[in-house]
Amino acid sequence: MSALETVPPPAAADGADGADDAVLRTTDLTVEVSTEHGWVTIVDGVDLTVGRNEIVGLVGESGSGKTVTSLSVMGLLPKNARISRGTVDVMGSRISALKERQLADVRGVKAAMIFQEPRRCLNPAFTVGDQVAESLRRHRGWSRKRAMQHTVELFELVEIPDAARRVRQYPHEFSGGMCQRVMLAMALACDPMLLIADEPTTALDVTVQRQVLELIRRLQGELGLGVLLITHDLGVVAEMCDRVAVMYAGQVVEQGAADALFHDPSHPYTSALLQSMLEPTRRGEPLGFIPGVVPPPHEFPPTCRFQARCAHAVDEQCRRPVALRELSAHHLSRCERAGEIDLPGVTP
Amino acid sequence: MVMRMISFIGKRLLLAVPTIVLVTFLVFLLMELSPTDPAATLAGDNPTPERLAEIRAALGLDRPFWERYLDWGAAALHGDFGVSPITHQAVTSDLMFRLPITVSLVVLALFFAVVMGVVLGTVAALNRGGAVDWAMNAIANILLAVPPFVAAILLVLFFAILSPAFPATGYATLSDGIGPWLQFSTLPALSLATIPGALLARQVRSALVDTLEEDYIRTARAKGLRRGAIVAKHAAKNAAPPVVTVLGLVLTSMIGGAVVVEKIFAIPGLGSVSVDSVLNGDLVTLQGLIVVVALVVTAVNLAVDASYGYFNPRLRAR
Repeated sequence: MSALETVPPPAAADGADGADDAVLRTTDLTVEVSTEHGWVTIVDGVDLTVGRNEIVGLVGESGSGKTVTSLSVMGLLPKNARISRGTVDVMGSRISALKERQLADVRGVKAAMIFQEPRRCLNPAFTVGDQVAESLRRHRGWSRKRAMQHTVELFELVEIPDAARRVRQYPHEFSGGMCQRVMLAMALACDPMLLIADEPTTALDVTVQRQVLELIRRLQGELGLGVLLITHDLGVVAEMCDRVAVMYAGQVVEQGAADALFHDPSHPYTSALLQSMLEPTRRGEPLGFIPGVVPPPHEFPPTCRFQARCAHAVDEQCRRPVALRELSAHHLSRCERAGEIDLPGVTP
Repeated sequence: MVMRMISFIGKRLLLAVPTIVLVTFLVFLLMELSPTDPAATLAGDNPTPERLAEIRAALGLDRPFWERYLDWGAAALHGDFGVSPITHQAVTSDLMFRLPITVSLVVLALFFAVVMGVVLGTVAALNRGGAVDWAMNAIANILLAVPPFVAAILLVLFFAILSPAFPATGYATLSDGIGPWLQFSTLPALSLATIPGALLARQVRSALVDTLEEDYIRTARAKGLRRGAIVAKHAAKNAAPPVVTVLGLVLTSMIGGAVVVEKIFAIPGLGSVSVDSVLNGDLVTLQGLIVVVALVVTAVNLAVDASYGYFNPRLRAR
């Protein structure tokens, strides 16, 4: 177990959120990807913490870097991507310094992950029970029989009816929502403290979405998990998350408590996202939208990255790189004009 | 599950019956149309027309085509393929003596081909896009360009003549012991295995590359499985069906390849007998031989189809 040696918590510069409490801490996490334009930075200096017993939302449009951030936390980056700067610590293990073999010992034990399109994430050639039990056999060295018995209990935990029979079925005999429950059972098999959920309900029916989200929240509360919930759906964030980080073009642009961020956003991008949300209370008002698209990574500007699409951009101030700064306790924004402009949020 | 499997195999066997009947009929027809006259072969040089007619009558060749086909078919159903007018041997017992020889040769060749294909293909797939991938592809291409008779000659030259590790010709059956059998069978099997090995390598590589891109492979990594377990369990079972398909094709084509290889190495299997009976105009033996080969090919295809259900549970429900 020498590979999993506990690293000292990083110097608590932001001491407020208590280093010992964090199950996940990324510090200046920077990820590069190899493209025809050479190595291009797609995630730039992300500082993120997830504590025990809290759900942190990671929000942004497609291409904002939220999935890449989550994959690097699991050490699951594709071959053409690498962590070029910064560190990732999960439960005291410095993930970003581990070799593939050592990472395999951590995955599923300290941190686990569920994904979009649960059905495609399960192997069609093996029974669902076998795929869940596999994790227990791998990490705990249990016998096939013992692992299978515990798998039935895990299926009951994630509310799959008729668990004893269903463990012997194949993924094609399960609905999408049930497949995501199987994924959850697999993720939680070895009692990890960190669960990363990457758009876990995006591919599911609306009614099923709610059930799966409620299940995640119940399990999070019961097991005291730290959850990093990646989504583009602000409605989901509002319902689920304690804290939120908003990403744009590879950077965190705003971070804070969910309530504060929703009611009083301090970055024009957050505000614009909120205005583009469907909300029954705003029936009749025109739906907001953000003109343009997220630029591709090799065209990230050296200025404020949102400036080109921002309704509040002014020339001098926004034509230089902007740092993330703390506006009030635990509320960070990357807008140069934060505080001087009035940004609409959503009413509670 | 077991019942379903039995009913599947039963259905497929029933479907195989018309195939076999059609094959025998076409073979009979082809023989009828062929210029080879067994009577002329037996009669020797410059026979009188009376002598020819006599031999024809003795062989039953003067009877109508349908009658002869049905007679032959009825006997064949009882496992009797007749007696060769050339060698005066019962065809059935002759073929049953030779069948295990060819089968053991082909099975050994298949083993070599699978080892070659899986090793080359897997190494290439795991290093896709790299120099190793390129090298494996080059090896496969070279092997693909070596037909069995060239491979046989090269193998004999290097491993029987220049460095005499194996005998150049001859045969020992499995009942003589594994050692002697391997001594005589290794070179022939290797020469049969080159092209199939290369074909399998390509199929294994492309099937594995596709499978390794799947989301469930990422899931397997996310739960902390080791790379070896991911490839050997999660990827292999899903990559298998196209490989098994090629395996079936390759296996049947090996029976054709055995004709040449058995002749080169003087192995008394079905390949040798097919060449001899064609050259001697021994239609009775040829007839029986073709039925035996058709049965073997049908059995191989059945086994391939039956394996799909194992690899892909979604197919079992139907």
